[in-house]
Amino acid sequence: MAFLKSKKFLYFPGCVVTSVLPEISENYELIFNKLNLDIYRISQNICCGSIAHSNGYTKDFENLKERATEIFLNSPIKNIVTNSSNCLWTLATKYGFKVQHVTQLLAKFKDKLPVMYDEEVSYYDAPDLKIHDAPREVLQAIGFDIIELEKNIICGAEGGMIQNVPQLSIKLAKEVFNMCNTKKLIVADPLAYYHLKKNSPKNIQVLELSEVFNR
Amino acid sequence: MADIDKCILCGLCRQDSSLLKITGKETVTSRGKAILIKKGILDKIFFIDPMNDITVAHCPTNVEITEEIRKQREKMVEHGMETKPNRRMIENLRDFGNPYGEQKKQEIKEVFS
Amino acid sequence: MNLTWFEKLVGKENVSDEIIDKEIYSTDGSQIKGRTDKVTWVTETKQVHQIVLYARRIKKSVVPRGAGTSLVGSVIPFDSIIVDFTKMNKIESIAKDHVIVQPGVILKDLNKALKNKFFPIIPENSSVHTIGGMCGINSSSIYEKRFGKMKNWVQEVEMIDGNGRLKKYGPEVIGTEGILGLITKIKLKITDKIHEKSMDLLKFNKIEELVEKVASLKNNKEAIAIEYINPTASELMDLEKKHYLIIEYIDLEGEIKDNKEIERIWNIKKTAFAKIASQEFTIMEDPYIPIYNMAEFLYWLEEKGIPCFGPIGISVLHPCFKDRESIQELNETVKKLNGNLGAKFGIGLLKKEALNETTKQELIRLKQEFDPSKILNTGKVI
Repeated sequence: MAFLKSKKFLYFPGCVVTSVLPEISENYELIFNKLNLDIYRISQNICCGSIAHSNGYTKDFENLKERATEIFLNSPIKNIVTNSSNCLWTLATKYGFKVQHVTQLLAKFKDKLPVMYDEEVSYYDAPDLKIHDAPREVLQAIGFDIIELEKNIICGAEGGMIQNVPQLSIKLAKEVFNMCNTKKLIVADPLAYYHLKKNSPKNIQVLELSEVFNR
Repeated sequence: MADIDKCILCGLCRQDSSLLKITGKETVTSRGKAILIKKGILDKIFFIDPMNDITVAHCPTNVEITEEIRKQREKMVEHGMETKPNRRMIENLRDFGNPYGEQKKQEIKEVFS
Repeated sequence: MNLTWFEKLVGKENVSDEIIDKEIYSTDGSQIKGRTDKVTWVTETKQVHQIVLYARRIKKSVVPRGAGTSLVGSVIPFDSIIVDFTKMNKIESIAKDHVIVQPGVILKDLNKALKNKFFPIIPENSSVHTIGGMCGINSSSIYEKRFGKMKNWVQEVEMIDGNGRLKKYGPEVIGTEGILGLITKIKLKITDKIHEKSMDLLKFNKIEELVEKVASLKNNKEAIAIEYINPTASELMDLEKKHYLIIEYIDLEGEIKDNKEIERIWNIKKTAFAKIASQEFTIMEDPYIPIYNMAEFLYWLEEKGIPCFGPIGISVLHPCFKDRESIQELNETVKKLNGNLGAKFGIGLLKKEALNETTKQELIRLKQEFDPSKILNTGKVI
C-alpha cells in the first residue's frame, strides 16, 4: 500500500484485516483521511507473530519478531496504530513498541466526529482488547446510546478455538447474542467481528466499528 | 515455587467461564488445566482455551494460567502434538509470512487465531 | 466397567474414563488426591437413579459433585463414579414463596432470576457454589445471624438413597454430604428482597472493646451480618493495621447509607482470602468459638501472627495457615476454649474429629438405613 501524505502514524491492521477483511482497513483509511491524519503503511507482508506465540510455536515467533522488528525500526514512523487486539498487545509487550488501538486514535478526535445517529446499540468488549473507554467515547460521540452487555465474555474465536473447535466456538458466540437486547452489536476487534458476524442471529446486525461511519 | 504451584484448586475460576457454561465440564476450566499441568499431562484440551485472563480475574493467588497453558502448547508442538488446523496455519506462516498464505479473501475458508 | 452402558444412559459426550477427566475429578478444593473410576455428567433424575442402581449392583462407590470447592475433601473419589451435577441446572419453577430447582443451579443465578424476592443463604462465593453442594454441607451465609443456614430454607428435597429409592424428604437430610443419598430436586423457601440497608465500618485497637460490641449486637435483629478482619489480615489486605468490624443492617441505623459505598466495602472484604492466600496462607479453617472466650482466641491469633477474618457475629472465624501442620495447635486451642471445629465447611475427610459422638452414632444408624451397601460418598463424614 502506498503511504499517504506525511507519515505520522504507522497503520498496521494485522493479518485478519489484511487477508480476510481488507474492507475494514479501507474504512479506517477513509476515516483517517477525513480527519486529516497522516497514515503510513508498511509495504512488506509481515506478521507480528502473536498467533505463532499463543499456539506454542515459540521459535517461529522469534523468527517473525526478528524480521518484523527490523522492518518496523526501518520505517520512518514509530507510532503504530492497529485493529487487532493480539497485534496491539504483542507489539506493546513483546516488541516494546509504542502502539495504540484504532479506537484510541479515533477517541482523541472525538470532538471532530460528526453526530450521525440517535440510536441504541450494544458494544462487544473483546476480552483480548482490554480497552474500555475509547470505543465507547467514539460511539457516543457519533450519537449512539450504548446499552451495556451484562458481562464481558469470550466470543469463541479466541486462543485458536475458532479453528480447533469450531462447533464449540459457535456455541460460545451464541452466548454473546443471548446478552444483546439491541438490534445492532458493534465490535472493534476484527477476529471477534468476523466470528460474531458469521454466527449472528437474524435479528441482530453485527458491525465493525468503522462501518458505522459508512453512512 | 513454580507459578502453577500457586494454584490451590479453590475453583473460583469457574465464575464467568463460558466454556464451563457450555460444556458443564470441569475439564475445560482453568483449574482443570492447572491440575493437568501439575501432573505433567499433555493433552489437546490445552488447545481449547481462550488464552486470556477473564476467569483468572477471580484467582486468589494470581496464577498466570494463560502463560502456563501457552507453555503446554509449546511442549505439545515439540512433541508433534499440535492440531491439524494449527499445522496448516504455521506452514502458511513459514512459507509466506502470513497465516493465510497467498489466498485471496474469497478463497479463505478457514480463519485462525 | 461397561462404558457402553453409561453412554446409552447419558450420551457418549456425558461419560468419560479418559485420563484427563479422571485426574481432574480426583481432587477438590482440599487438594487431597483420590482416584476416579469414571465421570458422568447428568441432566435428569432418571439418569442419577439408574446410576445408583447400577453402582449398587456392582458395588461401586458413587460421589456426587457440584462445583468441587470443598475445603475438607467432601467429593474426593475412592475408585468412584463421579456424578457431576453441573449440567443439571434448571430453575424448574418460581412461585410467590418458593422455588423448585435442580441441584446444579448456581446460587447467584437463582437470585438473579428471582427479581423482587431472594434466597438469603449467600455463601462467600455465590457465583460458584451450587444449590446441591450447599445442601450437602448445610451451607452457611454471610447473613446467617438473621437468616440461619441452608436447612432453615429447604422445604423439601427429592433424593435417591443408596437402596435406589427415589423419595421426598424434608430438611432432615440437609448437611449429610451425600452419604445418605443424591439430591435431584430441591424446593426452597424464598423471601422479600432487602431494600433498605445500612452499614457500620468500625475500627478497634482493643480486642475487649470489639468483643463487647459484637456481644451487644447479639439481640439486634436488624444487624444481619457482622464480619471481622484482624490486624494481621488487614495488613495483608493493604488496609490500616487494626481490628475491623463490618456490620450490615436491614434498616438505616448504620452510619453508611449509600448502597454503592456498602457494596464497595463488601467487595474489599471479599478480597480477604485472595489477598491472604497470595501471601501463601492458603489453608482456611472454620472454627466456632463461643463469645465468652472470643477475646482469648483473638489474642492467640495476634500472638501467633495468624491472619483471620470471618463472620464473628455467628462466632465463626477463618484463620488462615501456610501448611496443615500448623493447624494442630489451632485444634488444641479451639478445644481448650470450648469451641468446635468444622463449623462451616462441612466434615468431609478432614474434619471427622469435629463430629460429636451423638451425631456420629445417629449418622451411622441412618447410613445403615439409607445406604447399607455403603456406596454413596464412601469414606466421608463417619
